[in-house]
Amino acid sequence: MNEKLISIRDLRVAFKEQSGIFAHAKTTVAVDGVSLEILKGEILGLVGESGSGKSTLGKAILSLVKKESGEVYFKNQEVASLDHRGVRSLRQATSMIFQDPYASLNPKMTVGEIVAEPLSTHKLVPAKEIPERVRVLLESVGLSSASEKSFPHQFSGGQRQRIAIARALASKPEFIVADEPVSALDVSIQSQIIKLLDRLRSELNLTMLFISHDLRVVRIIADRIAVMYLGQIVELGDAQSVFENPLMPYTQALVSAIPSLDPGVALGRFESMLPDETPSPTKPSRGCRFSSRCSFALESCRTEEPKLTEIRPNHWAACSRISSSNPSIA
Amino acid sequence: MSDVTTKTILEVLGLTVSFEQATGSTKVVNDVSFEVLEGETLGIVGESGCGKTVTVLSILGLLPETGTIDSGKMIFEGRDLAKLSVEEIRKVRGSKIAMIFQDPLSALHPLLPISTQICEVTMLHRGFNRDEARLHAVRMLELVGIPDAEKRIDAYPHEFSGGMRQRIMIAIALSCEPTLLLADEPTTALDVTTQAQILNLIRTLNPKFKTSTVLVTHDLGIVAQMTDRVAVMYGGRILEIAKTSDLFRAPSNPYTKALLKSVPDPSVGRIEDLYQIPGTADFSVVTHGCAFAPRCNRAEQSCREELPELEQVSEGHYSRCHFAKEEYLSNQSKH
Repeated sequence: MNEKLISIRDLRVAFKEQSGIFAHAKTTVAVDGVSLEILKGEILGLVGESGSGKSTLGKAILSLVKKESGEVYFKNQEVASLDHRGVRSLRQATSMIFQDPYASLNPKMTVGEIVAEPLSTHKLVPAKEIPERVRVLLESVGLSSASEKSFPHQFSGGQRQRIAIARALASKPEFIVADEPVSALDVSIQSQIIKLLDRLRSELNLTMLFISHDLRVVRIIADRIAVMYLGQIVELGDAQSVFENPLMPYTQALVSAIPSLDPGVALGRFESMLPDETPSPTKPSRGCRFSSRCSFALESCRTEEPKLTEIRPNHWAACSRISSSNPSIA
Repeated sequence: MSDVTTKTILEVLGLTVSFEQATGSTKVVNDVSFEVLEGETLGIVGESGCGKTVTVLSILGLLPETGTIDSGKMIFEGRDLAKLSVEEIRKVRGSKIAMIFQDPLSALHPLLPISTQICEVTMLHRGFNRDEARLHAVRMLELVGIPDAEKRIDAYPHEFSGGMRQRIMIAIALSCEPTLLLADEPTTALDVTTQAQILNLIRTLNPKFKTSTVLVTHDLGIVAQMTDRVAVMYGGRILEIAKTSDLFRAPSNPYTKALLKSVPDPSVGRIEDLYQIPGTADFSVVTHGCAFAPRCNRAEQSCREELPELEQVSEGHYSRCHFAKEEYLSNQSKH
């Protein structure tokens, strides 16, 4: 399982935003020097608050947004250097599931057409075999083959997400970016989709980047968790390790902010709250991005940018206050 | 509830609300009864479409035009809110009963500075003049944690972040020191860390103003952390209502149990342990029996034919299930 499927080196994605005709364009650095590897067969969970750049990172890996610098390797091939045919085969080998199944499915196409489109675009199966393949795909996500004649609006949110998953699987991808795939769903439907994705992952030997703001969901589905803050990966490690022994003060705050299901225990949990809110990514501070909200920050934190360092085996953090010899900050 | 001295602030009795649709009229809230006691936070939890939002909108007379209250009473300070005229309910709204919505950006007027939006409430309901209202507004903003309130009060909603906007909503809602606060998914649009701040704010401010709260949410974690009692809704009906600690310790309705097992438990962290409720919540089908029966793992023929009553399983703990007692007792064998 340690084979790399994707490796990212020093990736940077920036957006320019024009606020007025005469004003200077503001630059928002959404992904700021991210280096990351995704192993074959794993589900890597990517968590962070809104605006942390997690969706942009997911899209940049699939080259759906333009990067400013850095490299993304898919099976040791640099994605940007691919020619037209190379891009086509990348599109076939990768796919994406979006958060909102109401927006991601074309309302004028039948479910059958939606799922068949990747098959015909990539000429994966002869035209005659497409209907049969669509049926198999729909059944694999728990929809009856009768649903292929219906339109997306005839389905509930959970069923639509199943349709989106069937479409994502149609091209037999090796790698899927799932961007908040269960966030718009009710609890009871959420657990159905989580179980479905987990089953498909092992049946089809998929590799997945699972983006979510919900740490509870990520903890249960992901093998490893990466935590993003203002465009940078600040912590990375085995899901259990990151969740149970978070190293970075930011990750600790994220974990402690999850409302516990135990009414007896946890009334004091919100005490470890973060002050303020995430600063704007248009004005990144120098040094550690989190230093402005961190109660452990020293003067040096505000000037020196910490590097992602292996603090415990397979558990990395970007914090200059902790090291492998001194992993606890408090 | 056992405490006889606790005053009832709001009593909802047999509330039934239906919505007019192209296909006919649908009952969205069906014979819902509950009470809100002085100083308590009552949670209403359920999945989308279960009727939880419509229930609180009915209390304030804020139903959309297609919705009508078919029957039921909502007794507040000796009067039935359902019978009040538009003028009368307007006097209650914002002064005695206030509301916080899910999305503070659409709840605040985008073209008016914050100052106008806070001041108008107290000028209208408390008879403050402009200066008094402004002074009071600054105090309220400071109270909800808006830094530099004196300056920021003249800013517009878009100049604030989501968390700050929700704080402003809370400031407006509490401006007239309401007896009852209705909060509909107040933190759903926010990040977890901001959510924790806002929940904490609501929890510290309510005792200060002696406000009772009805908190509508889909998040069982928020229910566990924030509420004293909780009502679980499904298909327009209350399926279980109990003290929060009792509900989590001894859930007595199959739906509540299934819902609790469907939330990923990070301390276990195993996907095999995650429960999945089969099927989807299709509330458009009219049933004579229990609405949850088609998805329930212990449903029998009687469940599909006959609607169970809300049955008391222990003091203050009611469950709408033909097997309520058994469900309640099955928790004890576990401990």
